[in-house]
Amino acid sequence: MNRIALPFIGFIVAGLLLIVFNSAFIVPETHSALVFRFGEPKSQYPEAGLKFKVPFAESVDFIDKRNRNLEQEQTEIIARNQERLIVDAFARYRITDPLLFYQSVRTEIGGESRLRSQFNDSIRAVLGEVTVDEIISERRSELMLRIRDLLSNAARPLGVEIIDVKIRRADLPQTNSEAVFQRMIAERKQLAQQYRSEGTERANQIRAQADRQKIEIIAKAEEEAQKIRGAADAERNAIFAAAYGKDPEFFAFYRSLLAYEEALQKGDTTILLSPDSEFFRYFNDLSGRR
Amino acid sequence: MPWQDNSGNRGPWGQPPRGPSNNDGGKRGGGEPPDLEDILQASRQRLKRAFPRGGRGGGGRGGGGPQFNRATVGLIGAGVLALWVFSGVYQVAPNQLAVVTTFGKYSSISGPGLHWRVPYPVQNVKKEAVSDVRDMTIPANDRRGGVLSPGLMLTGDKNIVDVAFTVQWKIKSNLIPDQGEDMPGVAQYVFNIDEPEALVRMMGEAAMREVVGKNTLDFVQTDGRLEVARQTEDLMQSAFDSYNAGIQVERVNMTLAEPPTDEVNEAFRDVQAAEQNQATVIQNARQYTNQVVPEARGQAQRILEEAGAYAAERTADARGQAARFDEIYAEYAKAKDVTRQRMYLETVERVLGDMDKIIVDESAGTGVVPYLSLDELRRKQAGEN
Repeated sequence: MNRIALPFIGFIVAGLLLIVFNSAFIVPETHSALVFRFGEPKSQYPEAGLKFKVPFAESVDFIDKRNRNLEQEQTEIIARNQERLIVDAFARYRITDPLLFYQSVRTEIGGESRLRSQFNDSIRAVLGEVTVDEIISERRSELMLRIRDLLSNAARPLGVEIIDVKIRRADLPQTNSEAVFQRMIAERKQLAQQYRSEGTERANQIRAQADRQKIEIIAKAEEEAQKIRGAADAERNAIFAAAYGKDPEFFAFYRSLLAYEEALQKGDTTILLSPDSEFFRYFNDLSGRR
Repeated sequence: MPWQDNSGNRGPWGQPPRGPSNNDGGKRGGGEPPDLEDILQASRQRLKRAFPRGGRGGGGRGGGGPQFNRATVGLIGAGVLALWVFSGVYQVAPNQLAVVTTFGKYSSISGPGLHWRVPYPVQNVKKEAVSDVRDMTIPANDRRGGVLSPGLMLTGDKNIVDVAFTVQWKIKSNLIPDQGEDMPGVAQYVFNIDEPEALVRMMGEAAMREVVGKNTLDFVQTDGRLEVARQTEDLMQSAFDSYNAGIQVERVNMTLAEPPTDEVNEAFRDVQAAEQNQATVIQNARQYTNQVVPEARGQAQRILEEAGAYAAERTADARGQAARFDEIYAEYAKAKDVTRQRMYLETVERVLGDMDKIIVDESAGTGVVPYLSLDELRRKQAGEN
């Protein structure tokens, strides 16, 4: 029994293993599997896991189902206002129907070249209808969605879903860039000049205000000073009036005496006197009669 | 543990024993690197032993043979099985998470530590360093001399600015899938995205340009740097989330936001200089104000003080004179005529005492016109002085 059974069992086990290994296959999470019978696609397995096929007669091919990148570089577009832009964009896509994809383009590389030309068309179609300003700032995200939708329509027959489209760069051509640089320089020069002039203006204003303030302050002080002096003079008069009002006649006499003394100083005056004056009343006549 | 992987790849038979009667051959063979010559020879011997001998020798002669062979095969089988089981052990470093797949399908996440999986070909493990924050500089290459920088981009006011920035990102480290998602972040990262690094770079560039395109040059260059970085971060993150990419953007830093060429830069510097200049000129004017106005106030104070002094002096003088008058008047009132006479005489005495006097008596010079030489008088005065 041993003589026959051992090799026999060995052969059966080997055969079974061969069949198992040829019929079981693993679909990874990153790929979908296509099963071909004699080269003709028969079924697809989009889910990961352990799958089986008819051994030998059927073969398996895997197609990437990840979120993949599709780049479109250096597309020169002419916007609606005739301005030119160099646009780099990329799309993220996923092969959702591997069977359809295989039937239409066979491989990922074939698919990408087909998609790329459609991508280029979509970019031109959408961006050609709007102005550069709209592309750069105002409607960028909306335009990206429109390119995505347009490209989605073209990609659907290939079994491809377009997840997203992004405009990576949108730059002016070299010559236009130079013009922008020159304009920026001119703007800056203007701004610098403006700063300088405004500085001078403001400085002059400040100085003038200072001068005015100075004059105002002094004028006010002068006014106040005059008032003070006036009040003082008035008070002086009032004091005199109060004092001298008691006897105006005596005041006239007294004040005259003071004035004589003050006015007639030694040395610069020569006086001619008549002996008849009051001063000489007793000079000629002892009794003082006249 | 590379030897585990080797054993896994060795197939179902494992390493054959070396010697004919070596009980621990399996163990030793497992531990040492196999030599091709040895393997061939050993297997030849083993085949000779196991099959041809059994067939040629028959049951009677080789009674111990098959038993011996069975035991060896059993031992080898057990050893191989042990190795296979042991090859399922794997280690996850503290900064890593491991994604476990069963027949290619995602099954679980395991954290740092020592783990076991059903070995090849059933389960597989992919480790990712989820705690590592990765730095990416965009644009990747530095400014090339003479050629325009790759970081040039258009702003919303149609200027051009040279921007460089860094993106710090990592793989999401959640162990439980977020709401509405079927896998944790690290599994998404492993399964969903083709070339994640390239995706981060392109998305960073696209997002930064989109944000800069919405803002003015001044904003991007000055106040808005943080804001622009933050918006870029948000745009990138929302795109990654919509892709289920398992990528977490930690931070976007603007490292550069400068004028596009040296020439333009020069013009920008001149504006700064002009601003400085403006500030200086204004500062000087303020300084002038600060000098002139207090001086004027001082002068004003002086004027007021002088007026005050005048007032004080004049009123005091008036009061003094009034007081003097009052005193004198009080005396005068007591004996009016006498006082009056005395005052008159005293005054005239003082006045005339120091003075040149000429007394002309009309009666003395009757008929004769008296001659008075004023010139001579003057000369006399001059001589006295």
